Amino acid sequence: MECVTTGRSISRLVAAIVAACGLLVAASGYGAAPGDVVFVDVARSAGIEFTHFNGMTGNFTIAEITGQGAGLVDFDGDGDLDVYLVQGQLLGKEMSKAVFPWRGADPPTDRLYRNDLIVNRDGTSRLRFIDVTGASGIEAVGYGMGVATGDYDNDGHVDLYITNLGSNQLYRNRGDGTFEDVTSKTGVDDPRWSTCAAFVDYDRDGDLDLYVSNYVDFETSPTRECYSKSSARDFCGPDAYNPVPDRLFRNRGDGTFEDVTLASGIGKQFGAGFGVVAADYNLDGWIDIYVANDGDPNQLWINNGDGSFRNEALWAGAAINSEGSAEASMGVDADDFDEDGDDDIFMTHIMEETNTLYVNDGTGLFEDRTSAAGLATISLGKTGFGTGWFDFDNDGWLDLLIHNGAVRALAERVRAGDPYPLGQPNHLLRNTGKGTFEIASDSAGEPFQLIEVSRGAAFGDIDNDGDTDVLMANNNGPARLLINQIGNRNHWIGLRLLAGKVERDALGARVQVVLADGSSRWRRVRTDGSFCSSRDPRVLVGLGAAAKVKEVRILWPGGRRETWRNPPVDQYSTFREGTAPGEKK
Amino acid sequence: MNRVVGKWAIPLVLFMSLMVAIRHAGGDTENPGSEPADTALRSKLTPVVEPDLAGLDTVVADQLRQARQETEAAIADPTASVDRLAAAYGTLGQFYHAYELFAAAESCYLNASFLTPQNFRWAHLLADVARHKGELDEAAARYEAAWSLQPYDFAALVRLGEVYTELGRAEDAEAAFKSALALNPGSPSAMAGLGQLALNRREFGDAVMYFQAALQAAPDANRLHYSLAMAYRGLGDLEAARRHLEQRGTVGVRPPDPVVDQLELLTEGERVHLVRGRLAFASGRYREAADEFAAAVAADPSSARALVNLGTALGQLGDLNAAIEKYQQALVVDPDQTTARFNLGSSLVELQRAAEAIPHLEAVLESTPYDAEAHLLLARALVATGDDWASLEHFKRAAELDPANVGAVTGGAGALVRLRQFVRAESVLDAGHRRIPDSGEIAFALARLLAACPEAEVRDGERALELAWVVFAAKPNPRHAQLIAQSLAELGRCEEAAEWQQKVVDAAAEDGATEVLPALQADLDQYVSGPPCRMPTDEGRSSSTGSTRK
Repeated sequence: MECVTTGRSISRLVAAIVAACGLLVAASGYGAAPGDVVFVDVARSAGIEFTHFNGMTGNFTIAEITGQGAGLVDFDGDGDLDVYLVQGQLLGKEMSKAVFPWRGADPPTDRLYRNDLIVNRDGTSRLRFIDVTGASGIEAVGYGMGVATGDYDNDGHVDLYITNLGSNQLYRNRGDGTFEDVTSKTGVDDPRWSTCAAFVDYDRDGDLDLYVSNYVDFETSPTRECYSKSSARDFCGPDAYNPVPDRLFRNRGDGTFEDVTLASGIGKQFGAGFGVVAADYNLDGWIDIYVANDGDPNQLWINNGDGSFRNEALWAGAAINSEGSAEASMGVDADDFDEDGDDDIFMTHIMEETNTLYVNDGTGLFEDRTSAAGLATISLGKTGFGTGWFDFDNDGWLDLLIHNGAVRALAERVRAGDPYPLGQPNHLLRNTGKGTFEIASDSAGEPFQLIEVSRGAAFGDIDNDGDTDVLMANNNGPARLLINQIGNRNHWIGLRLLAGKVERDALGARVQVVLADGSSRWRRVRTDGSFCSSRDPRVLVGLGAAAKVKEVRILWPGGRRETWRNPPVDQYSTFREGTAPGEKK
Repeated sequence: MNRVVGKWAIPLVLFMSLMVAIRHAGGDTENPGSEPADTALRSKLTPVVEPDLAGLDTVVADQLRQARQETEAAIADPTASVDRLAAAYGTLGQFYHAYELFAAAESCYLNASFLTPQNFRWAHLLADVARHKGELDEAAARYEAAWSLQPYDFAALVRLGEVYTELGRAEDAEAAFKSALALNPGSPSAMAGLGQLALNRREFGDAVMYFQAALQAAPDANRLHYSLAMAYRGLGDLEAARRHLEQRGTVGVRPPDPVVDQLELLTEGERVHLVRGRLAFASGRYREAADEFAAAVAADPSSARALVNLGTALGQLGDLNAAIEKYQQALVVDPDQTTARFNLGSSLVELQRAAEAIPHLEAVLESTPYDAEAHLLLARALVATGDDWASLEHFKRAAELDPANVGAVTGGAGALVRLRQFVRAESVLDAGHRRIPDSGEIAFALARLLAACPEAEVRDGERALELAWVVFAAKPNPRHAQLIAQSLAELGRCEEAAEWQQKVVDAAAEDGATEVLPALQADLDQYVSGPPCRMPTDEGRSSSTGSTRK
């Protein structure tokens, strides 16, 4: 085991942020004194001045309200998370006709910000981001939708897959701070409207394959006209177009990919695809893929273990809601919110529908427990996109963040004179540990009082202080960096899992953190989920009051099981496959 | 209701009738509401939200302006009674509500409800608005109020049960659904609500009972099969679960709600009917969709999109000739309407009028050259007119644009076979099979070509038999048995071929398929006659050992 020195007290970080940003922030735990702040947006003060340009020209083009995701990725391997932000483009021919003019000096492109986290000798730290897009060689000038991260060539440097309305791009990380566009060379382009993507080693051969979610056949009729029930011109929904199949690319291991969409069975059934999240839902040792479809039944691609998949979503009870209706699924995430050792699914939907919680029974069969969990009421009247399970207060129970923003003009926003009347507040929901959730947004800080059109949410410990922060992607709005100020009331353990002999995050590995009282927390290594966004591959587990961890048990993607005893807490440690005590080297 | 003169006849008549109906619902002329609304009372009224009418269909905007003027006239009348004022606000609210302008509708209903709190309909409509806005606590309170004012408001009870369910108030929901059942025994919507509650509580036996009762009362509500399947799955009856899963559809149940349902009568304009038609179409309610699209055409006879949608709905109802007429009318209005042209071409092909379809499909491809469906349709039209050569390019393009399209592969190969381009046909099928290995159609076509191609070079008995076994295992039927026989014959295994062919002949005789029997019998005779028994090739050569491609 290798221990790294990134664990430190939250109160020190708060001091650092106060110094750096001039923000008066009190260290607090959830449930502390009323008025305490949990999240603070430090994007601008930390150097991220990014505003999304959706390119709308008044033609109610569906693409302009759909995007976009964001990524947290340690591209330079220096131990802190950098930021990748996805940009839009003009949806028309004349920039002068843009409803919200592009104010940048250069044309809009995706941006890469390097995190130069400064750690002082006294343990305090300061976040500072530098825009390194130009030097990185990334030229992402498509109409961006999302970003997926993974080290596809096993060289120890994480690569980027950018999804677009139009051709996608795979950027290979050279390891020297620069990237090369290897889309053609690797064969992973898709010229259609791709939305979200996920790197996943579905065939357990030690390299990452790629799943790409595709939306609708937009190209054949981009100017379709749709109307609301009031007869006013409005944005079309996906039902105005034909859905197009998703794609699965198998990594050949030689730097190229093979399109196995049809051979794997993935191409058989499809809908208007958005969020994608891979996990071993039926616990058979093979990673499965769940896809959220907008208005169509969702897919649960169960891995047959022979390179093929079968869609079991309907039988599993995770295709449609318990009343038998397909819903407008946007973002999705999977994790073990009830701590019973299997991955449960949470999905966001359009404002007329409730978000949905599918609870796994351990065999890959799900029950819609939305109402019972108290998640129905809060979601009605809001259109959810990015979402994720994360333990914001490190009490050991996975909470939920939901990014909201309508896809049709909201009358109250129109009356308020909002020129982009889709804004809605985001939600933070705290897991009570009893199978239910309660609203925590009200005391979560100023970012949760904002009315914006939020889409992607990327989760990760940006300041390496042992709690989870959030990178927020707003459509036609500023990117926000929500730094968690929850404080060090609870203990935690941070794990980085490296696969085999390569310096690659072991996406798909399952981690069981066993506490002294015998209880367990199950997590997995992943970068997918949410809405077209990419998260921290490290596993951060809240321990509550437990100051010790008895064991960390890891089930590696290839099937190997290893156990480490008495790992240190309140810091990050690296676990390398095949190096557990007693393992043959 | 007849349209008399001008476009305002319907709304005005409706407005007046609503006013009358509401006045009667509010009580008799002796009640306090018949007194003029005094200034003090008026001062407590909520300002009516004025919706933004810009961008609305002109017909709709004019209708709403006129409704508002009528209401304002009533408000301006100092002698207007409380009842009349309430009716005026309520009626305007209903117009707004009909177009889902909820905030404006709500402000009107609040005034109506304030002025005549005894009138259940305002509470009911306020509840509906709150439900649409996702304000469930408010909706529950309003439905409760409506029910207390009108104990026979069945829809309020069912909706109340649904809202309570979403709020997680299971016991209240159960009580509401049961009260609804007391009013309307056997109601499918109340039964379904109770079923959903039981499913949420994991009381799967009860859930099965309620969903089955709901389905019995509303057999068309096929969405319930999904909920029923989940209940059976919970009970461990997997066979029943799968059976109901296969029957699931998109039609649900909802309580009859005269207070809300009548709002639809207020809507006007092409766009509104288009939206409603599309919703009905998407739910598979094609007759309703056709009616809505027809109303859209009536509202705007020059609307090409309304005509196209009407044609599409008529086509779904099986009236292709009527559909064609609508597409043609749409193209007169807008010759660039690609969807009209595609649908016209498709309908003509279906009616075996391929020659007429071709120019339309070619025009579609001129404007949208990447339309795989249009390429495939054009290819099929060309085949139907005997132009296999011309079809090849379009089959190929369709397969390129949509690699999962089985029809493009088998269609293209079929054309090549007819053109005696057997090697190319085999190549197309082989590539298609590799790309879509689980397509039985492609595997079948490839196996047949490998077993019985007139060109000896293409034959590959071993591979044909391998594919034939797979196809037969997936779907055992006489056609696939015949394929096994052909493949065995190609390999010179004549006795086995004869056995398989005998089964095919027996099955055809049993089914009374007398027209195909002679050909099947001829093949059987050939197999029985012993080696060589393979299908003859063009060269007329035959081999007793069969052929295997190297």
